[in-house]
Amino acid sequence: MISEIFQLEFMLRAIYAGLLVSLSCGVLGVFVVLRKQAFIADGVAHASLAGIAIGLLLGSNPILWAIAVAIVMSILLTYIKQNSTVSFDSSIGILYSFFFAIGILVISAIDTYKPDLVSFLFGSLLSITWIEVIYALALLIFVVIFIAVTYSKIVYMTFDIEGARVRGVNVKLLEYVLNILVSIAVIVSIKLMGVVLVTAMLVIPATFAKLFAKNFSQVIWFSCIYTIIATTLGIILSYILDLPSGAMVVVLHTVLLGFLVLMKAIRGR
Amino acid sequence: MKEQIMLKDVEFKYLNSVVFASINLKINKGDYIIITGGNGSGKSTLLKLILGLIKPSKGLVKTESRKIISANVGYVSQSNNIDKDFPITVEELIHLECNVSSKTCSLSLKIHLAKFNAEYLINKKIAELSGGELQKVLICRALVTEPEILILDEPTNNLDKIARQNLYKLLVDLNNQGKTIINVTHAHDEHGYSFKNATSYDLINGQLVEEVHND
Repeated sequence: MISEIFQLEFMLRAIYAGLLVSLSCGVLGVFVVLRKQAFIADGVAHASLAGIAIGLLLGSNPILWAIAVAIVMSILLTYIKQNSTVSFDSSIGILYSFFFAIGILVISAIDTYKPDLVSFLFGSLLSITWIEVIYALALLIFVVIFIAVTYSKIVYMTFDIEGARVRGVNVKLLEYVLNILVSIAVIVSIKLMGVVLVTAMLVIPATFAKLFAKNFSQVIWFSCIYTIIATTLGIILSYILDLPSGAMVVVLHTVLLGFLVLMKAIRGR
Repeated sequence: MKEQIMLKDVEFKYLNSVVFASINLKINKGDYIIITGGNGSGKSTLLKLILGLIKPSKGLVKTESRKIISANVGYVSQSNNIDKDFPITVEELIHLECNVSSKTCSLSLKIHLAKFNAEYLINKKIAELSGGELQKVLICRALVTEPEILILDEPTNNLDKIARQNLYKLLVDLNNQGKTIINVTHAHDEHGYSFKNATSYDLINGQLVEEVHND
């Protein structure tokens, strides 16, 4: 059964895409969780409905439209955070409701049934194309380069934003780039995970890593290793059990986290 | 002597309420400046203006270099601004501060921690530190780059009596070396320590009032 999975092209596409997006999310999720901004993933995912709907309406690539909406949303969020006293969570709540509402209005203008829409909402292994695998690879390359180049600055900013500014770190620019990359990662993950479940990819591996790492250099590695295992197992199990991929991956991530936390608690007694 | 930092007619408003009406302050190289004031008097806000973290509503904050942020400044912020759950060790945290090799940085950290008898903290995670231990680490973080200007915001918070004494001995040494020190505090802790070029200010109702000492 397992060897059969690796001979199916759509499964290979799903596993490649899953591993690539989970690695991007595993790395970026560390900064999202430590900056206490987990809601950004949920907000961007829901806002992307506007882009997906516009893409479906116009008959062009919905993912590219969703990425455009996500970038606009992340720029607006960062601008509001840096230039107003409105809380980050509140601005996410306002903007994602707005874009989601736009999405619903656009969908209501589409008079034919759009099966693609369901796959965006709940994720679908079958719908992943090679071009989406390439998007995922390009995103991972950007993420790795960005983190490698800015590592000490972005860690400093995440730990102590004021201290980082005193040290001369361009916090404003870093926040824009980080939030844009997180938004793109969310969108690229949507085909696999679905709009509703994508947040888990960013939050759960990083939460595990934060709990178990002995130092910061372990955090990113732990997050990546955790998400590679949970994503691969989730995709394979979803095929074997004929269940939705996104839901299976999230269940695996969560159950594994619960098990490991329980084991840690028992060993700590 | 040319001033290192100058605040001229600085006004600062927050949400339309005036925090400072007109602050004037000149700080020369080697000065030891103490700024005291009650809760909410704006002491930390004044430091942020000096550091360039916030901009004045009116007036001028001028520094020797174009921006004090890019100058060699050590800043001890209040430890309650720090995320104590952050999964980072003391050594990793200090390496973020250093521009030199990690070996030199670790050596410098050990030397500074030793001044507080706290070398044992180097491999600990921030989450494992007590409030006083974290404060010692934040002070050492500000010192590892051997800054010309040291800016301290309530540096004795959470420190026990011995650690406070060690801190003030250290500040006297730095003052004797010609470093500029700005120390914002609730109350005077420095009695019994002799600083050169020392000036005390009290921040009252948005005004900086120079204190006159008879000793």
